[in-house]
Amino acid sequence: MGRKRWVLACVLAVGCGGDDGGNNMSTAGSETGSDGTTTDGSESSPSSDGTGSETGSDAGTDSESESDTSGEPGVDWSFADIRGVANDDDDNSEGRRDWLEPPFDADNDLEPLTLPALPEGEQVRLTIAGDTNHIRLWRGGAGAPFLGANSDAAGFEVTFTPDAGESLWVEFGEYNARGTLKLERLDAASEVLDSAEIVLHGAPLILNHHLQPAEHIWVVDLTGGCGAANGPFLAAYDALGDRVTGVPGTSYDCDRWIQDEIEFATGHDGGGARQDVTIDSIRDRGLDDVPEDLFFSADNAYNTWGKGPKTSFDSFGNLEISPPVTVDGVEYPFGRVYFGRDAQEGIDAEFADFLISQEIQAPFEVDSTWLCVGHVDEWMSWVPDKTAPRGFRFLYSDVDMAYALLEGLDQNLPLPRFGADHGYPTVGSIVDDNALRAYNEDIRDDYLLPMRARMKSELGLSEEEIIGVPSIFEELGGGCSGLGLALIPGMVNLIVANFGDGDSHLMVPDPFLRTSDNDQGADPLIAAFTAAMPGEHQLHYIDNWYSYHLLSGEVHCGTNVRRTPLVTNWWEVGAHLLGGN
Amino acid sequence: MSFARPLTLGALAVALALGCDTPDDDATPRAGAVEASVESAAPASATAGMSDAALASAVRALVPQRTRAGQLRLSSPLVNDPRALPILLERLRGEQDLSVETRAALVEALPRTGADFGAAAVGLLQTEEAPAVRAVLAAGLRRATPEHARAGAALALADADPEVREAGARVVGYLDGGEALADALVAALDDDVEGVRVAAIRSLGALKVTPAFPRLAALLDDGTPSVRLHALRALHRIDAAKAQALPGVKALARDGDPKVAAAARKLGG
Repeated sequence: MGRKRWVLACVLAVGCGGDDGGNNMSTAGSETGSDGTTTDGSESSPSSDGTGSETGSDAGTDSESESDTSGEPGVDWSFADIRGVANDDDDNSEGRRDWLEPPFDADNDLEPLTLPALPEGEQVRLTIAGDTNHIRLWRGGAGAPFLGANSDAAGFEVTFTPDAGESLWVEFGEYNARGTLKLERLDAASEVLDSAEIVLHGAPLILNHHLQPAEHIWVVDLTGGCGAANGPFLAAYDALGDRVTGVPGTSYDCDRWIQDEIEFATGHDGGGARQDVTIDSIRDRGLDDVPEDLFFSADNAYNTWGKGPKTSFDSFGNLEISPPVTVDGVEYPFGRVYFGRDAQEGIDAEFADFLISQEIQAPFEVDSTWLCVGHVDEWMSWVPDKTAPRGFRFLYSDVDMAYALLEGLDQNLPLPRFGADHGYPTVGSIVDDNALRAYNEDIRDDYLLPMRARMKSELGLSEEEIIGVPSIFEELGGGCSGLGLALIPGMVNLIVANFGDGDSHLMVPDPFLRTSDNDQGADPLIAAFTAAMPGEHQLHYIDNWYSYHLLSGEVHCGTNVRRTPLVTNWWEVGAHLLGGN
Repeated sequence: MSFARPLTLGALAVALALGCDTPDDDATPRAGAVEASVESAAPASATAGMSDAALASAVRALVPQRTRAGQLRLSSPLVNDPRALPILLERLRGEQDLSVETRAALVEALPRTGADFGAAAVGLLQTEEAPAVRAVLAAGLRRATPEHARAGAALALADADPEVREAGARVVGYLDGGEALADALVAALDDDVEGVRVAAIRSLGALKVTPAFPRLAALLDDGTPSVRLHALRALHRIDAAKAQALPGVKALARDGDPKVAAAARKLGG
């Protein structure tokens, strides 16, 4: 990846073997004044005479140095903006975020700011502004930060005499942290000879959409001693080979809902180096330690946002991302984040605010409060489709399609699964339940259609891009009084396992709308769904009846997928979305 | 896929209970193989070969699992056997210190046994202390015999706890012959709790209880938006033409609540 090396750059900058008292990170003989400025105790060196200098130093200044400066080259006082990732990972495997430690050799998340060699007597004044709580500069590896967060620099300003070619190091402690750094070159009388200002920008956290290739899949293996074990579910994922890892369920309190505890995201520095980030939900059920256990290491960060109190809305099945879209002329190259929330309840407000603060995926809300679980993944999803206008189709639950399909079937068709666990032994028993139909009509009118319109509006969707998926919801009692849940296993709650051309899979809940379990070919819903799906995918209909469906979830809920970013230059393609950039 | 595959004692016990051959040690061990044969089986066949004793033992050992929403539920084809009913009832009566959540999970499974659980449900509605459990019992009455369902729903509608009353009002709409409880539903229109009133309205609409029309029409100017919304829909379901002619319906097209206004515009034609 060509990541920078902290130690090597410092060695080159300070010139090892000099009389620096054994600390090759510090300026020889420097002293720190009470005002935070530093002065170089070395003999003054010739100042630039400005001849040929790009910075246009004062031509009237005569060097008082004994040195002949007439041939000295000009000082290039131009600097590139600095973009880095939040130092949230654990490059030294000490079990804590690197931002919480001083820089160390293995830390590859600090961005160099290399200063040119300056004539004798000149100094540099740095002034930082913006998100100074989450941006800091280091000079050398020891002690406190030099400027910015946690530093001693009063007024966010420091003046010092750099060593020739010295590099400072910029560190970011937050995603989409933004600041500016003014670099002024001062003469011996502290007059400004030159000035430059650069942007310091910590990479925003970017969540994954379904058009990004799948890299690896995680499911929870419940077969080692958990109830409602998921043998058939795991067996279906065997088709994807070693790209699937089973997290041992008995190590995590048999919590099977791995979609809900973590969300994978990425950040990229200005050089395109990638940092993987796992967002850890405040859900904090059995899988709570998975981020620390599996996804916290060098170049793998994790973090949590939100204070709670937690609800089911805080699970990450309630957080999804559209493919890249253009809406009313505005491009969203990384897609848009959406989550379930309304005025009264939904995903944690602090977490929602954090997502909004990342700007580049412009989050919006949809109303998921009508569902018992309350997750947006229960009724909509996205699948890649190379034949589609923008490369995807939007799958959306459609109760009218479901009733039309059911009414077209033999009403006496036995449905053993639905008879046993839902009280609907035949197709006709579903069709003829007036209260069930009334409930579905009501949620269609109150939620499904309005949210469909909202998705169209927020994402600029065309009708051509939308595939209706026959779905019926049942009205629950008990702790979810009056709220809805998929009666027929929600086929939109699928996993897109798109590893590459010719190697793309859709892992779909088996609807079991048939008499014989083993005869998927006789299932009218499977037939309808298969016919509607893009041909580039291999379809796998998975028995998740006992292991997920009866526990209020489906395939997507029990799976998580890490994906490869398609675009890394967020500061260019997303500039119009990043306010003030 | 990579994952650890230990053969657990639990899996072996199930294997023995089911009369299955124990997994071959030389084969790639899959602890889930035996359980898989149960969990992937169609409900009727999962327990067909099990003795009463084996099934009882297995049902006693069933542990409710956490749903995605965080509740407990028994999810196993072992439940889908009428012989499971007495075992579940035995657990309700006999297990010490059962949490409310676990009790709710056990009663939720009663209808799924396929046995005639109605009498037991009605009895439990009169003796169960936890309202949350009674509410689950009420919801399950949809699958009871009509006589037990109506008896149980009547008890639920008269319950001191609003959650139970709401569950009772809701389930009536799903019952064969639920209109026999129309008077109780109409009485529930005056309940203090919005959820009870709304559930009663919706059940009256689903059952198309014509005598309730005037009473529902009077709710079109109720102060609670959800009451107005569902009264509007119930009226339409009972008699669409008569509902459209109501002056209150046209007025609701300009209701301050967007859902109410949208419904009125749709139903008003």
